[in-house]
Amino acid sequence: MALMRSIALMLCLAAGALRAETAAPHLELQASRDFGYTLGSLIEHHLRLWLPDGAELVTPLLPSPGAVNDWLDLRTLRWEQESAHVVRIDVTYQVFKGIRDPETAVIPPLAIAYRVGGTNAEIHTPEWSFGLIPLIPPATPDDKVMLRGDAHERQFPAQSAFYRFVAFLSAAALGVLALASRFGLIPGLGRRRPFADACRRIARLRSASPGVRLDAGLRAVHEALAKTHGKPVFPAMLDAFFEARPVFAPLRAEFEAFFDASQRHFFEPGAEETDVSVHCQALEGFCRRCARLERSA
Amino acid sequence: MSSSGHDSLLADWRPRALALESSIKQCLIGMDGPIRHITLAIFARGHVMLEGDVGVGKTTLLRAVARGIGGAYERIEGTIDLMPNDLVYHTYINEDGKPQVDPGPILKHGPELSVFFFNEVNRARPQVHSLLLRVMAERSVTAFNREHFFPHLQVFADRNRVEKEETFEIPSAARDRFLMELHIEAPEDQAERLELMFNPRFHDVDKLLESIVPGVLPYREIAGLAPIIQESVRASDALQQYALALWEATRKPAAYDVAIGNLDMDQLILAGASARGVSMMMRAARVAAWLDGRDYLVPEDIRGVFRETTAHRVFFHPVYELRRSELIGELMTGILNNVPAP
Amino acid sequence: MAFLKKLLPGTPALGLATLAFLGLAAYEGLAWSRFERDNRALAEPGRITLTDDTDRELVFAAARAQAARGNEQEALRLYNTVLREGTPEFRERVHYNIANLYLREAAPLWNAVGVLEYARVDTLVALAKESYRAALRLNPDAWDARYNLEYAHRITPPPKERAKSDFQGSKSSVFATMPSLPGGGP
Repeated sequence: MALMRSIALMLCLAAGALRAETAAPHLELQASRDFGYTLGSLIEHHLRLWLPDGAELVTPLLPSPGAVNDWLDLRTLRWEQESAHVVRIDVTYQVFKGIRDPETAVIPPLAIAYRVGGTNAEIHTPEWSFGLIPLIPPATPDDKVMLRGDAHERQFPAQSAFYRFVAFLSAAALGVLALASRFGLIPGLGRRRPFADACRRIARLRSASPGVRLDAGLRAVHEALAKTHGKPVFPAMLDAFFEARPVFAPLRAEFEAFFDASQRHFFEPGAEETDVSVHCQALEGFCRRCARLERSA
Repeated sequence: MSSSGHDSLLADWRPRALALESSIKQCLIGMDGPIRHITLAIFARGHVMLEGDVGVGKTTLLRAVARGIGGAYERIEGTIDLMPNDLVYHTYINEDGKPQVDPGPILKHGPELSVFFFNEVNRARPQVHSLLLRVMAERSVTAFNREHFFPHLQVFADRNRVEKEETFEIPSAARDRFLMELHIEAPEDQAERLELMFNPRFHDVDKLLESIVPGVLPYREIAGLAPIIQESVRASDALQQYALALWEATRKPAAYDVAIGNLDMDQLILAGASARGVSMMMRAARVAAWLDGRDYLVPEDIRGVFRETTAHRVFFHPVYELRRSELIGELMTGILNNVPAP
Repeated sequence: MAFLKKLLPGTPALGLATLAFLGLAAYEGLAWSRFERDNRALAEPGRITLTDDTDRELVFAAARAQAARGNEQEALRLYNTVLREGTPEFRERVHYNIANLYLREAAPLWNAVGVLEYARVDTLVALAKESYRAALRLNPDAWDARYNLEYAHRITPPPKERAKSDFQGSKSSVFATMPSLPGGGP
């Protein structure tokens, strides 16, 4: 443990010494390889530039993309402040040198401008030589070289468009189906919930006056009953109704009360509507219970 | 009479009407429906057409009713050679050897005639039908140079539906005058059938009818009571809408999604129920409400009499008229099933 | 089932989605029919009639057909109408084909006549090289372009003198020997 700590301490000291030495700007070039390039190849150079205190890169004066010489293009140059003193610069070249035999080519130095203490200074990348090889075998005479043919036109992606067309069309058709079933236009698809609908209608009536609300609410429940049974349900038909829809049988007493209330409301002229709002609430509760049974069916 | 007087009158009469109904029910098995409808007809002051097979108890029913109502009861058999005159008078040579003219069945009892039973009405000629029409419509007949009135008269007719030969179909105008057309059928229930077959009580009709207290109803007062019933039973807006919808449905069933097989409903109906027909239906319905102890109508009152009061007033196109008996039932059921209330 | 129902969107959203899908389907259906039509046209590029809104791929095919027929001038004209359009991939192909047109004209000349046609070869090769470079800038991995460009460099004057040179003898014009002067190039 003590040994390791002392090694770490020594490393730190060494790094500090290195820094003290490189107070002058200093540049390091990295490239993946320096051989096996051909005409058209891209060459990437990664530069790390150490700048002394108070020095900074003059970015407008950085080399801009374009031709470096008659066979070399500077394609891209990106830079990034890696830390207070270190700037990282990525350069991409493209080689357009036509050759007959393998040869060594040299990328000329690149001038990087920086400013220190109000004056501009430059630092140059080192010359970088690399191995370039021809694509056409060296011994081939010119008139024996077969040129590569023209580029062909591309087929239009009719098939994928067709697949997308079918996919979207089926999605739309599914949507239409779902909508239709939701509106009860497809018998058998998507069970209808007449009581749930009636509950929603009653709930929507909350702002109406109690009298109107009771009237419309009773009608809504009657309609739901008729939809459930397939025909209007009258008090005398309750037995048949429960026989056909035994799910609702537990609510028999409530159904009878509902028909009583409905009969009173609709047919008994001048019947005193006492506490209409209580009736409304009872009706809403009844409808909700019916909807619950309907869901469980 | 004050309205409270009306109320007590109605309250007094209700048990009597129910008593008549129940005493008739004791004599006739499996006929609760027709008995209830006849009771309604009595208090609605309407005439009734009975239709049914031979020997199902139509005559017994009417005799029981006549006995219950009290008053004079007359009966005539329809035959092809029956002429209108035969109803009004008959001539014969009396014991002195002189020709004599006596009042016929209609006139015999004068204004006291309360039940007139026309048996096998479709065997009688159209001339007889038209006389009957007048009797039913106006409760009067012109004879011996003066008008005779029958304020308490109630006509029951009976139509044999088995035989079609040597019969005259009753014109629609005459049919429309009947408040109800009742179908009498032998009871379906096995226990009731056995009872009819083996209980000796039902074998001697005369003795059976003696069990009915004669004149349960003071028939003279019915004519006065009927309008009071009609006035006292009220109909709410919702009920009026329902009745209107029923009427509309007899005219345009397709509008209420009533369908029979794959018939074209617009082709089927020649004429829906008449205005008189529906007013008669409402009359019967009001009596039903009263008998039920209410002073307002509910849909069940109308539904209970809809078939009986309306079926014979809907007229089909001639093509379909031959299939009437099978179609009309489906039509009526369809209308009742499809017209919502409220 | 109830769980599934909860996952489904509300009716308005469902309606909107359905409409959107309908719209997309219509769009793709139109695209599909257009592609089918254009693919049929591509199958017979010689018959393509060009209008202002002809797809550039069809123009490309028509140009290629013209070139195949030996009508290089028309091919060049057509290539140049679509040179600055479309995706980099398309532009690369156009540049490459233009370059090929130039190079295929220059190569036989060079191989047959050599330096005698110096001016024309020089001009044509210069044009070819420029186009190859443009293609390679768009796609450095275009190996065909690399290969042909290398060949273009090989035949670039001043070349290594050919063994049997009658340079002095059949020179047509003094200007023709000077690089970059018009000498009958295209």
